[in-house]
Amino acid sequence: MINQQQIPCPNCSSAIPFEPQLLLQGGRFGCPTCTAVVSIAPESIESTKSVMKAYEELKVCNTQMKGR
Amino acid sequence: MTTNTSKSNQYDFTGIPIDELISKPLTAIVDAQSKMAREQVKLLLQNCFTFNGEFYQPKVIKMCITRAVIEQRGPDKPPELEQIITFFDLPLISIFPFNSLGIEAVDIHFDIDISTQYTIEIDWENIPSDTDQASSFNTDHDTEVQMLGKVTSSAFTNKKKTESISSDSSYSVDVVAAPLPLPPGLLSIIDVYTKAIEPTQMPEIEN
Repeated sequence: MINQQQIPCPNCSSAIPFEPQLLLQGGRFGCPTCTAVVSIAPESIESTKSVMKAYEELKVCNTQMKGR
Repeated sequence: MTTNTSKSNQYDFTGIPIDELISKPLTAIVDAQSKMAREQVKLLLQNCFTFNGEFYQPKVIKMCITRAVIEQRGPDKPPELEQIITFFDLPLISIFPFNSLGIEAVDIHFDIDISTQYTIEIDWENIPSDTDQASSFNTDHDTEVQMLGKVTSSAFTNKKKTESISSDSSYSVDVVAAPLPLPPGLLSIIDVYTKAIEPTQMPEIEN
């Protein structure tokens, strides 16, 4: 399953594909239409990382459940 | 000699719980999926929303967008390309790949070896004399015998002859199940949130 997410470009409303993990590492994602670049603000990185960690832990639990 | 076959259909699979064999693993998978969904909702409410005692409000993260804007500095100056950084709030729920928290596909495969067995009733009175010795064997018993398992040689029981007929067959079942996409409710929430992302022009701060 593809994990790639999309958000609409605030500038032109085109879909900007992004990868959450890369976004949390400071990655920047460009709009394919208007070349605007989207990134996460530094002050939000830590709070988002903690939520993403909880999400990844749940994912591991689910993978173990699937394996049974 | 007259011979009656009590169960003539060698490939009659009645009595085999095929529906249970298929439904039991599927039920287990549905249970697992529902457990996952519950955990997912828990994660969603605990981390992506804040509860103010009345309703849940989405947690937002700050994002920034960098875009090039053509600026006209003055009437006599040529326009310049300037990089403008705009901050906007994005609901946390928008960046989670929730689809990946589910069972993608289920492949249940099993083979069954089926052995059929039937009883042939023989009228021993009309058996020719050369088999009389065989007919006197075990004449005291008058009960039907149900044979379980494979019988390699024929057995005589009173007036009936039970034979194991080589009629093994294999029954193969393949089941592929896949979950439905995200529920429309959650999709609508994400859609509304993402559509609401708009840059807001902040008033200029005068020094």
